[in-house]
Amino acid sequence: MTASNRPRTVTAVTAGHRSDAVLLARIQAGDDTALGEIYTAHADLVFGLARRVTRDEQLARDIAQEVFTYLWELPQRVDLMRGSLRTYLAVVTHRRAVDEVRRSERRNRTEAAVDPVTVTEGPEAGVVEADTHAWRKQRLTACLAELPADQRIAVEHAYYDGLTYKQVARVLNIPEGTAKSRLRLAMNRLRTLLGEEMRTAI
Amino acid sequence: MTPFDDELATLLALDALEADEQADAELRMGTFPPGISDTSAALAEGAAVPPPADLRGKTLAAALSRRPAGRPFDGTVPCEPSEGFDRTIADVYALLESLTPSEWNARAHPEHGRVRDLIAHLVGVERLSLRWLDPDDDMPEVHDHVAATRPVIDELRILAPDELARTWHDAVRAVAAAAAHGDPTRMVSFHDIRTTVPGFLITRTFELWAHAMDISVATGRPLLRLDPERMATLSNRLMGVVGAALAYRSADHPGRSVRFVLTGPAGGSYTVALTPNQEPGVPDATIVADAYDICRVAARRLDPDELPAVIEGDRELAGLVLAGLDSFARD
Repeated sequence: MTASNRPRTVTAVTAGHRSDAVLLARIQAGDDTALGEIYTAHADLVFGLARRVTRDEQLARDIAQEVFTYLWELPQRVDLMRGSLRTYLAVVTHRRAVDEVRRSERRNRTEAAVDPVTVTEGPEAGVVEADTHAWRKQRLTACLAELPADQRIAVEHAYYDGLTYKQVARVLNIPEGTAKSRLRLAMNRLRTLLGEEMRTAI
Repeated sequence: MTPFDDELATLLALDALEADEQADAELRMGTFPPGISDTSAALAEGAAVPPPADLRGKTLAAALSRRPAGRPFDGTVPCEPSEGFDRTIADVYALLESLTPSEWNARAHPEHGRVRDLIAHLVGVERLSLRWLDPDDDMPEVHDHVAATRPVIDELRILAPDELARTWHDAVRAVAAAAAHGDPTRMVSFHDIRTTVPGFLITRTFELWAHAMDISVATGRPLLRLDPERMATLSNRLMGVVGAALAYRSADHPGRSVRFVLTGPAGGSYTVALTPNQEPGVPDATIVADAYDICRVAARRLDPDELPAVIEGDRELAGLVLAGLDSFARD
């Protein structure tokens, strides 16, 4: 039996089934192609979230660069026991975007709608797992729709507009304690509605 | 979790706390509050949009400007081959000094036999090495590594274990001294292989390490693990000779390349051509494995089929490459 046809204990990995752990190990080893793969898989979320929160395409571009650079420089910061790489990137991006918004005050924080931003879509538009992402988006939209309106609005102000609970209270003209409890109830309800399937798919 | 913690975790996950409150909350429950971060991250899906076309190149360039590709984020600087050889001599000698009389008679190698025979074999290799390092010695090629030292094993049978250990130590120190003298760029032989002095020392370090592992296994000790600096020296060298190793067995693949992603502090990322003196092209396969394990494969102390690895691309080619990594190993 030759070395090539003996049974191998290594793990075969096919496109679309790469684990976060392997990608992170590759990044830690200095494999820049792994960074490219991570960008392809998650740039839509990082850029989109940064743009949604900041409502500024240039800031969103800067934040996306920073987030992926941060990952490349300090991959050991990712703890996959606490969540997926996509979750990590979402958390880091959101925090970075919120910091930027609160620092810059470039726009009116009470503005409700996101101005449409014209972008030329990159190759990721055709490469990302479009079906999966569309499913996630639809599922999220459906779950948000099931929340009581006051809870949903509070969450949207906090997450997508980057408001603190005190700002949410001011915008909605409610006591700060009420804003806090609405956010807590909304997130607990959302957690239940999203279910394990959606949360682990992130 | 108390209701207070639950509320705090929610606000932290939403980044909805005031700056001073957030710092306190992170101290209390970490940056990623358990059980709720994934829910807040799910909200991010509602904002996902394809990024601008030019952002990819700019982002990757920005990242690589901060940390060049190829080296691990916590990369260890390889030590000089002579330093690696010296440290391994010290490790092996310390191992020998720790052996009990009965352990010297433990069976350690399928061909050399007992620990004491293995060390006597090494004495023979050191004697050959002194000749190989001597530019005035036109010693013929030695093709059979095992047979070449059998007379020395017979000669040293009368020595007590501690005398045998000292004999080997004296001999290997003489090799290190000989390597340190003369032109370091000169070519030397190692059996039928021509290499540089540093390449020779790295090959010998591989050999000493391999036999230290043999002795460790035979006597129930943990495998000798070289420090990251030495492992980096060995893995760097190994990645530089993949094409030559395959060609040595007439198993090279002109025009084809493999990407090795070696994990761990001694790791790195290497794209190697599968034939000597050729620039690597687009990899036909990617092999992700720990640098330590890959070096054990090259030292013939880990079967390629037992290598914990992830392989992408042409698996058959990757298997052939892994099977050829030990071409320069000598037992």
